[in-house]
Amino acid sequence: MIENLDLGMVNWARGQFALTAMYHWIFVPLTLGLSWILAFYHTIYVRTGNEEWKRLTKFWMKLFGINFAIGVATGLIMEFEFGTNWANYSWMVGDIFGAPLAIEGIFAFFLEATFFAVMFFGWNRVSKGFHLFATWMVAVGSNLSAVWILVANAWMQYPVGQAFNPETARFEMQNFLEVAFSPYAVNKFTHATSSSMLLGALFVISISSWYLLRGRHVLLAKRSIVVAATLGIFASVFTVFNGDESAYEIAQVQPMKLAAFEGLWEGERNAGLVAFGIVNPEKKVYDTREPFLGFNLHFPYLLGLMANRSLDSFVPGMKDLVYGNPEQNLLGAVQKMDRGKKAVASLEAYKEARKAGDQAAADTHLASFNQYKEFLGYGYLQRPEDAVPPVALSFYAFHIMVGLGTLFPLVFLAYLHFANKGTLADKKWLLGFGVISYLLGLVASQAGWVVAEVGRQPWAIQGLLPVTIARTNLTTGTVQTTFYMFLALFTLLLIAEISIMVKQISIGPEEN
Amino acid sequence: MRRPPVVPLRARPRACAPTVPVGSGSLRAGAHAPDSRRPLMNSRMDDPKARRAALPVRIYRFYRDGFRQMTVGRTLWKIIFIKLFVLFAVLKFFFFPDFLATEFTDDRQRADYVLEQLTPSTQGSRNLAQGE
Repeated sequence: MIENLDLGMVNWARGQFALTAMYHWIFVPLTLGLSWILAFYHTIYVRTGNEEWKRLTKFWMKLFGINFAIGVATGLIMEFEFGTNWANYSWMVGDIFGAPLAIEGIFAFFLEATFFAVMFFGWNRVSKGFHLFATWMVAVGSNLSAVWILVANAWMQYPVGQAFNPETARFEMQNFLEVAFSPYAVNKFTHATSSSMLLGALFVISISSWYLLRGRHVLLAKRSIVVAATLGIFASVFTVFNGDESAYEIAQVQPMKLAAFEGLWEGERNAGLVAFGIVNPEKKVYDTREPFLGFNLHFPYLLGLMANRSLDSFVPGMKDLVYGNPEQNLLGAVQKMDRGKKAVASLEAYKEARKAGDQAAADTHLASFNQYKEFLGYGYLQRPEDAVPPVALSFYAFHIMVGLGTLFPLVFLAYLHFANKGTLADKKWLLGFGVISYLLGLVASQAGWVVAEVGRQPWAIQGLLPVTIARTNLTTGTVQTTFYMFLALFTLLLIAEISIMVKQISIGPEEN
Repeated sequence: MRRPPVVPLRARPRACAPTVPVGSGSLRAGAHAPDSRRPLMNSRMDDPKARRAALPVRIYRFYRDGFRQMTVGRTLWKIIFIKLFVLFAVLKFFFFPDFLATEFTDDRQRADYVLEQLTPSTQGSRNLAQGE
């Protein structure tokens, strides 16, 4: 029950899930992104018949395999956590997520058992055409296998196509197509896959730059860079466009998240997009402190354009979303909490009436519940200010992601420019930056998940289920123990990956 | 299309065995190795029925030889198996029981439990439900 709720447990469970998801997300985008780049390398080899391209393809394929092998099954841990730490949530969403995630598991199994094997073992053993087909299928299949988990995540942020059944305490699927093709899900998928390709391109550039700096495998490095940078530019442009579309979706369905990652406390017209700023850590939604400390830089009008596709539109701030803004016809968390409490109370009354066998009373309370059910989650908030996510973390994560995302296409362009002029090997400054560019890409990729997941707090399911109710009633100590076990396991696996990867990179393609 | 007569496997002379080198495990004879321009295919492989019959064997060899020729892959498989063992035999078994599956015997009980969690029993909420 709420009054006995151990907030410490919830935070440890959130931390554990974040640790697992972020660790898993080190491997996944590289698998998704590098698979496309491999397919292009392999295609060039098949089309040219040049053995150097084959050597190059096999080298990157080996690094792809290492990343895949270390990362495989790390996502399963999240499913363990659902059942143990988030039992209420698991039960409530089982009808929505069960089938899609099972499809994904079966699909991934058959994909991995067939095309992965053909891709890795198929050299000189299957026809060139079929081998190339297998490499492309690995790329297509890997990226498609990310569909359902992203659809599930999108649904939690924008829960469409469902209805809550108070009899079973479950959200039940009403419209599969609405869930699978919600604009939020489409944007999430395209953004995740295009940014993964960008990350894959940075991985190739990092290692190839290191080779060029050391004067090793120069031809392989240059050829790898040209293809990766070209794909990287396309991926960057696409990522910017679908990122902008994602921001627009967020503004429509999760305005609090947008306000948090822009540090917008009070709504305004002609709002500017923050380019740089230091968030005031003391600022609260109910006070009049300055939102930023010292210097901050805004691009005028752009926030309105991003949020509403209109320069002079009103963009609500956190204060409007907490206390409401009648002028703008905006309900705040205060008003939503009032309706949410009616939903919770009706649900309880329905439950009691059903127990007592009073069908007429149960029907009355069910009608009342249905009237307020879209605000159900707000009924569990203790204070309206609880609807505000951690602002500083959301703000910095968003701006780091966008800042780096803006830098990467310039890096790719610089690489292509100097490669075209034939002076790339002389540009030590660029190659030095290129070596660390993959790490920066990882930072941007992780920051993206922080924006998505921290920005939607306190909700497990937007507006319907806060994390404090989604959890299992466990002791803090139980979750702490497994948190540290995962930390140790993940650290060991990461050390294993890095050491195997570094060894193979230092050996280079000769031994392949 | 006329099919050639089927020759039982036992009746086939040894010379009709595929000429694919031992350990190559090719799924398709005459694969794309630059040193294998000559199709590694014999009369038996030309026989569609014989090829169908040999497919499971060739798939088996393909996997077997692929695994045998792995270098880094062997280390990776060891890591995968250790990881799966730790995940399923240790973590899942001892530390991550499915709470609702272990605590309750049927879905009705699970639904009732979750419903209890969703409906904190307070007088205030009762009053609200009664419209007071």
